Amino acid sequence: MNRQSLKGHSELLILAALAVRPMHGYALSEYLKGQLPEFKFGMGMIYPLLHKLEQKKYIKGEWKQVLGADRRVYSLTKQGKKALQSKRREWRAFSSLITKAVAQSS
Amino acid sequence: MNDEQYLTEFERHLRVGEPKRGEIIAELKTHLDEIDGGDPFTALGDPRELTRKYNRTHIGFFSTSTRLFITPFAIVTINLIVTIILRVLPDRWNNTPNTPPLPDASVFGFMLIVVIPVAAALLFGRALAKTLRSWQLLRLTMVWTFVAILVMEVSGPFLVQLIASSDYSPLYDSMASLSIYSAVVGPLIVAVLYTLFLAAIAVFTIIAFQAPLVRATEKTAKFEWLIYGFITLVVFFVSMGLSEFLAPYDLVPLDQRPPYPNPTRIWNDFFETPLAALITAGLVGWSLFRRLRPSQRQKQ
Repeated sequence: MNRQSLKGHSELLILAALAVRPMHGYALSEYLKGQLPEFKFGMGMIYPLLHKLEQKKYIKGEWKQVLGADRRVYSLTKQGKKALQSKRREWRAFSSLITKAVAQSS
Repeated sequence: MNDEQYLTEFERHLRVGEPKRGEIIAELKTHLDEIDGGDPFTALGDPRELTRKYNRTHIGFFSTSTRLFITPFAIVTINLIVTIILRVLPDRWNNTPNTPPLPDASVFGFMLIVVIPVAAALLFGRALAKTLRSWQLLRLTMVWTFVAILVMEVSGPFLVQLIASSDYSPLYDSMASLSIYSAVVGPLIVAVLYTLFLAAIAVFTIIAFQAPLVRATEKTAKFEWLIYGFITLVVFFVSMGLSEFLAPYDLVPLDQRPPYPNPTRIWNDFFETPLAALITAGLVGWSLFRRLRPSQRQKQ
């Protein structure tokens, strides 16, 4: 599957991943690789997306020591948790509609 | 491509200014540390594509050079069209056939001519504030503003003359025998001065928005107030000089100028120069206020 299929959903994916635990960019990219091995995900693109989410105040980045090295660790904010809930609802509605439409056509 | 080459390429295209810039680069370095020895191109993708995303996220609409450069041209084109319309429709805009068309254009038209370039400069100031470290971009913007103003200054009168040649006007008559000075050198001087003026506003806006909230030492404070005074004086005199070129009634003898309370004349005589100086000096002052009085502001 190509990265186009992920367009529009990458914010949801990142918010969902950070809901599991706070992570730094590299850990997040490894996590997403593990969760979605089928997708060819441009890992560098995670960073601008993280910054965008930070601007929206959905996540908060802080420099912390991780295994002896400085890493910018991102965690969900209250606003981010609310956004995740609403994006989840949107996703469920969207995916059920698509599933229904595809099932009818077959 | 090794890490160093990747980072060099990345930094070359990254337009985001400090302090965000340093953070972005530091964060990217941590990723490169993690993939220790791996190919950064494979791990992070094309550095130019990556910077494009960062620029878009942090700078917004003006993140690409094309948009940054097209905007002044769009503004100049609109400005030119509006000016031509104002001049071609003399009766509607209260022009009279015996006086130069620009001074008699409505105050709305003249405000448009003055306000649009200043607004554009402030807009660039905002864009440039986010790219403070990218002096190359500032330089390029100045060059393009200069070219845009030059195009406006040179093509405007010719086009207007062409369109409104049937009207009788002393200005048209003098333009019919344009000398090298009035056709080329004059507009060139105006363009250079105006560009410097706009760039000054842009730069002062940058300073105002970017000034860190750090308490200055007494020595620094004195030094900065000296600079502030110097800049204010320079700006005032530059504005005075500019108004000689830009004020619409400069070429018109006093007895031929419209009597008060003609709004354009009021603008011309009273507001233009001091307003320009005040805006600039005010921005600088605000910037210094932010620098020098952080503790008082925090207490409030």
